[in-house]
Amino acid sequence: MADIPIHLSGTHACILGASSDLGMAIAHTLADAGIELTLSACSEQGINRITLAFPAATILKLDMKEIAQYAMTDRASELDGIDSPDYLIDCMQTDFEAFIAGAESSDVTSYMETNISGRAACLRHISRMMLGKRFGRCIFISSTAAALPNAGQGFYSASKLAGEALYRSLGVELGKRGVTSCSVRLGYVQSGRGTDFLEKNPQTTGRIPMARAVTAQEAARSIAFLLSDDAQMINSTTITMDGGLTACK
Amino acid sequence: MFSFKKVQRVITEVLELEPEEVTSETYIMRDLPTESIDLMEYGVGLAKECGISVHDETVFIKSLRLHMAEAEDRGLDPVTYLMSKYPHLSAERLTEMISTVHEGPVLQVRDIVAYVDHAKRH
Repeated sequence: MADIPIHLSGTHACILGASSDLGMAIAHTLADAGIELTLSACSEQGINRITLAFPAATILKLDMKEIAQYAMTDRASELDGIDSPDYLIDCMQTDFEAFIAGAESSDVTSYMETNISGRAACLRHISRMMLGKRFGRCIFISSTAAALPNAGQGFYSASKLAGEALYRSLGVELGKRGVTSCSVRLGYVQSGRGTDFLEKNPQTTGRIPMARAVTAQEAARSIAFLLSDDAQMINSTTITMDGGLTACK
Repeated sequence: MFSFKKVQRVITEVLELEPEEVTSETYIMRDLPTESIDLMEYGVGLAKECGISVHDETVFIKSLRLHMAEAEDRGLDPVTYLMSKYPHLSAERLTEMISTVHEGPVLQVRDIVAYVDHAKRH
C-alpha cells in the first residue's frame, strides 16, 4: 500500500468546540502527529472530557455568547488564554432546531450571538495573532445544511453560511500575508448528534451514493490534510464531504 | 526615543523598508506605501512589540474627519472634542492636524509614538 506523508510546518493548533466527537477525533489525529494543542469547550462536561483525553493540552472554557458581549465593550476575555496558534479548527456550534416562524425571539438572538458574533470575535482575535507571524491556516467545519437545510434547520443554516462567509473573507484579506482558510461542509457524520439522528432515521443513508455516513476519523484525516502545507492553495473556498449526498436530486 | 525605535521597527518590518526611510515626521499614508491591511499589521505589531492593547480606530485616527464633522454639528470646539477622542494627542498637534487635513491624511509616525507612550502610562 502506498503511503504519502503530509507535512505540517506549524506546531500549535487551536480547536474550538473540541469536546464534540469530531473535535476529539481531530485532536487525536493532530496529537498523534506531535502538534501542540489548545482545546476549547463551552460546558463543564466538555471541559472534563477533553481534559481527561488530552492532559498535555491547554484547555479553555469559552462561552461564545460572553465573548461576543465582551467584544462589544472591548473587555478582555477568555480568548486571551489562546497563545498564537498556527492552526485553527472551528468545530464550535450550539444546538438549536426550530422553525423560523416558531422560534422564540430571545432564543434566536442568543443563538446568533453565540454562533455568529462569538465566532467572529474569536476569528478576529486568532487571525490577528496569525497575522503577527504571517502564518496561519484556518478550517471552519460547516455543514451541507448550510445550502440544503431541512425544516427546522434555518437558524443553523444561517449561522453556518455566516461562518463560511467569515472564513472565506479571511483568506481573501490575509492570504497574501500567509493566513489562509477554507470551510468543509460535512454531510451526515457518524458522530455526536449525527449518530443520534442516523439511529432515528436509518433510511437517511439510503440517499447517500456511498450508502453510509462519513466517519469522524475520515473527517479528521481530511481536515489534517487541509491543514497541511500542500493544501494551502485551497484558500477561501468551501469543500463538501458528504459521500455525494448533495449531488443527488 | 525608545518608543519611536519600536514603532519604526514595526513599520519597516511590515513594509520591508530601511530604518532611515521612516522618521518621526514621516506621514504614514502620504509618504509610505501603507495600505489598509498594513495598518492592521502595524496594530498587531505594536501590540506585540510594545506590550500594549491597541485600538486601531484610535491609534490610526481613522475617524478624524467624522469626529471633526460631529464637533461642528454639535457646535463644539473641535480641538477639545478631538482631545476626548484622541487623548494621546496634544491640543497643539490636533490644531495642526485640523489646519492641514485638506492636504491629505495627517497621521505621522510621531502620532503613533504618542499613542504608545500614552498607552504605557495608563
